[in-house]
Amino acid sequence: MAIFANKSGGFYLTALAAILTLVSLIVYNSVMYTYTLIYVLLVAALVLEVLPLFLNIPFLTGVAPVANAVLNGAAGMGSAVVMVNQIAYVVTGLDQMSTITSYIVFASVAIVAMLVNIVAAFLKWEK
Amino acid sequence: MKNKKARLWRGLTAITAALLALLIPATYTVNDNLSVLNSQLGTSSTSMVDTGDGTADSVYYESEFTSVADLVAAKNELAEQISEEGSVLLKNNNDALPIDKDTETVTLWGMNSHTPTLGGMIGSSTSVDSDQTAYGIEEALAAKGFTVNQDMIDLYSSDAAMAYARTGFGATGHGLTPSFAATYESPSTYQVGEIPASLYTDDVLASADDTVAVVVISRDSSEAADYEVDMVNGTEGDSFERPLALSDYERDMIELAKEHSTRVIVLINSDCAMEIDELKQDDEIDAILWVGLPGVNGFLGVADILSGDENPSGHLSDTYATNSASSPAMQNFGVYTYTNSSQSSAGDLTSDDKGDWYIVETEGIYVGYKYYETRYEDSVLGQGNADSTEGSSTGDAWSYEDEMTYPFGYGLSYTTFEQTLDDVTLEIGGTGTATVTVTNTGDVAGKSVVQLYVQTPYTDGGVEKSAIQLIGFTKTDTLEPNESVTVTVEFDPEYMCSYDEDMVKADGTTGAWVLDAGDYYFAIGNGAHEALNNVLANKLGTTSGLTTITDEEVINADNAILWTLDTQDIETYSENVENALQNMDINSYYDEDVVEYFTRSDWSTGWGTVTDLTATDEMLVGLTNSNYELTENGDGVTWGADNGLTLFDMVVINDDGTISALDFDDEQWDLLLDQITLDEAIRFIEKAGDLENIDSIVLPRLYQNDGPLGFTYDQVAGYATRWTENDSSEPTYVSSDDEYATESMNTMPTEPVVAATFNTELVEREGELFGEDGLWANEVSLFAPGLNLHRTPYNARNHEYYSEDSMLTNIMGVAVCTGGQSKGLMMEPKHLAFNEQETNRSGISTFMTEQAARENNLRAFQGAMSTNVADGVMTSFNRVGTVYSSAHSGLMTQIVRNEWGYTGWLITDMINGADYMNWRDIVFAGGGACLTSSGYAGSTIGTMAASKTAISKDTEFQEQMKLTIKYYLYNIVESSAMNGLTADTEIVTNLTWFQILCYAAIAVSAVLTVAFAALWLLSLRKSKSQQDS
Repeated sequence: MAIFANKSGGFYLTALAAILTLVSLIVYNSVMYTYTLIYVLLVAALVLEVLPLFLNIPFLTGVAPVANAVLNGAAGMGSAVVMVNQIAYVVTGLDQMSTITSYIVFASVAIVAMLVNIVAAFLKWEK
Repeated sequence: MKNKKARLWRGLTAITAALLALLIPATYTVNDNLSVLNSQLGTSSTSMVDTGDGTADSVYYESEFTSVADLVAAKNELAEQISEEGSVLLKNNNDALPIDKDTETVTLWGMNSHTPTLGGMIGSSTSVDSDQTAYGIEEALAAKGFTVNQDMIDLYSSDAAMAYARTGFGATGHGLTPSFAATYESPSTYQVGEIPASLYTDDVLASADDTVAVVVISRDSSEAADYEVDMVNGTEGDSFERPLALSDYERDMIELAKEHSTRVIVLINSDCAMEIDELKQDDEIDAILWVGLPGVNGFLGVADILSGDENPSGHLSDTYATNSASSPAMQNFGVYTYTNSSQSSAGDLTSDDKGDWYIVETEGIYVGYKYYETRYEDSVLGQGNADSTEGSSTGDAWSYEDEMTYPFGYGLSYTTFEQTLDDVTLEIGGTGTATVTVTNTGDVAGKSVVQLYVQTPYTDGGVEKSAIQLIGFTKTDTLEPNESVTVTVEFDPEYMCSYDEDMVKADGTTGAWVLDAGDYYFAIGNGAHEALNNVLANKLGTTSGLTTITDEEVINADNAILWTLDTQDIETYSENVENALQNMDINSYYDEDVVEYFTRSDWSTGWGTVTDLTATDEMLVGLTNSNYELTENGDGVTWGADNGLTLFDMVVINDDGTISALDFDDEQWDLLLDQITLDEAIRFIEKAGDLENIDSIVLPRLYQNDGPLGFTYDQVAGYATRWTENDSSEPTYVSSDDEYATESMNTMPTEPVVAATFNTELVEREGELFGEDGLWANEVSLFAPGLNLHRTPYNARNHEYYSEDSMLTNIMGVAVCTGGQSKGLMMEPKHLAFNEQETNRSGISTFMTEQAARENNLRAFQGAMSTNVADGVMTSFNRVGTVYSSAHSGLMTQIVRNEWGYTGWLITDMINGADYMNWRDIVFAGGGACLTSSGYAGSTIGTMAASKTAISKDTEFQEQMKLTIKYYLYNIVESSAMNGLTADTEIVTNLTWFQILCYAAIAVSAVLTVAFAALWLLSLRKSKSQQDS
């Protein structure tokens, strides 16, 4: 496929990050307490991860890994703002682990997406 | 990007920028939860500075103790005494008790003798510090010098036996699983934790021969959990008919105990009334002692009862029915879902509404003994179809004898007492007094409880009336054999009233507290049943046809006194009263009645379970949290004024050195409130869980925590937790290296045990020691006591509430709050109101008649709130009708403020459903402040802070905000929070070490990000210029 022609690690890791962001977006929908801003961050990250895959604009491919790392990181940590009490309830034994399982999955995936984007930032887009 | 260097700088930029992206929301979260972090880390964001000459006396509540050690010793001693006086001797054939501990050996039987229940889970847990002893029965008997069969203890300690131990929720001795989550199914299993008979080896059984068997039957308790009738036993191989009935393994174990012992004594270690009629009827069971859940030290008191060092004087705080599921209330308990819930295709509700469930308390006023005793009277009098088969546990005609094991208020002693009701006087609008002579007719010293009951005139088809109701009680001092004493029982005639929802008063309003014209009988007795029998004997002139269910009951017509009211009184106790809870009647939402409430006119009706209700449009207003809207109205209110006042200016120092608040209507309050900024007011209401300082009025940072057994360990892990070194000059300061720095404070017996003492002096003393804990632990308020009712035995949180009876609860609530308040502790009872089941408590709609709501559930709170010994009250998770409790103005404003004259403050339970527990509806309705708030950001209406602009345009709302804060401040200035403050005190704000760390990390990350980004751009530019050249 032409889209994969002559592509290097940065491209493939950005594609992986896009998949992870999509997964995190889906999982976030099942988190106990959600925050609209997090959806905005995730959608923005998804757009910035997908567009460079199809539009070979140097500025976009250059900035995208950094911006995406920021967006994924902010989403992962920002989501804690509305979950912190619930986490505390579970930690102190007030509530069951199942109430924060999806949050933990979401935050983990978001942080992994952030890390993938950071690694992508060190790599070339094309061979 | 083919430039290697540029990629390196880009990668580093990504790292530091991502770090920045993590740190900024993390720091926001830290600041947003600063109060919690401060309380957990022992840090402070403020310090109080005395700008005066330092000579002013600033200790307004002094401790009676000179050290924490003395306080802990006093608490332990009181806890032991409460269990001594709160354990209830139910059966004692042939003087099986006491045990001679000098000559007899005891064998403890039952796996739950090894893993007994001391308290509940969550709010009333009994966690202890590593160097504290939590006394189970094994430890207590050892400490009190009993000789105990070690072989049996070894068996229960073995791996084979421990495999059967209750281990739910990570704690040995608990088999319930609490959950804060919504559920559409009833809990399915409960682990009794008994071992099979096959584990008892011949040697172990032989070791028990010729010893006294002390059998422990145990059930546990927990917040956020309930029992259900159709649960199955989670103990492999064991089974029971109902979780509160004995299991097969328990029966097998008791049979072995009977075979291998000189006599058998059973301890009932449960706060949920169990089915023990088979133990009562079994002649080989010699004694039964109810001990409830006795807390960390209570079993020491139980041991003293067993040995006879103390004489039992407790009386049941609940009815012990033969079949725990036979009451009207049990017909509607558990999970009932609207047909148009979020789970249906109708789409009328969402999961965020938390409005899917309802419960209809069809029993009306007939809870606990009010049902069993009223139906008993009607069966004696041959009225109301009382002997129909409906509600009969046997399938035959209903009979009291079949249904009752031990009635409410029943209890025995090692001695005998004769009580004579000498006289009753009362004045409507004044007080009532009963005079009773008590004589110890046995041969052992002991205390006697005098219980005063009243029967009010009932007319068939009229307002529902219980045939008998507790109205007051007292306890004698220790009486020596043959000693007599005359005591008085004071009571408030207001509590003789019935609430008539249809009564129209002189001012034209509807709803009144009514004293009907007719015959009133006052009676004393060893429990509700004996008192009612005395009334019936007096009324009928004969004891023929009356039923006694224990050998010890005595029917004495002279122990009932007739008092007659010639004219109906609907005004004396109805000032400011009018119907406020009509929307709790489910029938009010439909054209035709969908529910048949219980009535003594016909006991054969009302037995249905209310299922498949569809929420109407009117109901959906509350269920979708659409009660109020912010609007633009009024001329605005003043915030942030510079009036030169501090909170301390509202303090009046009395001549005796005590403090009180300026009159609630004093104009100074308005000037003080004007100084608060809107941001401060928003923060205060939205984050009232841990109360941060309000700088503009010099309100110091304060702490408040659970719960009914004392400050819970998971929130306040010891006396030093809430102190910082800045406070070291305080007289009750406890440093982190103090011996008691991490001592657990939640050690007291559970509330049913406390109630069973029927001793208000002990309970007031308990409140005083809670107050002392507050002084030594730097805590200003305690979320206690629990004042909900034991509507059914199946509420696993009954351990946090006193009783099934509203008056026993009312009087206990007044006593403990009086004690706490005297030490400057803000006592904050919970949960107002109707939180009588834990399943789906978050958002469940509760329906009942207004009469039932007022005479039962609310009367329990009325004493402490109308006398203002409760400085605060926590509201409930549930809805009142279809409106969230704190958003129900009928309850929060009309009844609480207008009728009761309550001047304490209100606070929600933790926000567990940010949409239905939203700040807007709470403030508008006068429902107080919000305990926690992290969910608001994700809710439909968002945070209060985000709505600041809209709030600033709504004058009515802002005035309610001010009133909410005023109630808090009015109470705080009379509390121990004023200790350390003078007119010269100022608040200095500072950053904590973790805030400094966060800000430093952000700064470093930001600088690096900028630097790496610059290098990245330079590399790109350089690369481009090289390409161009």
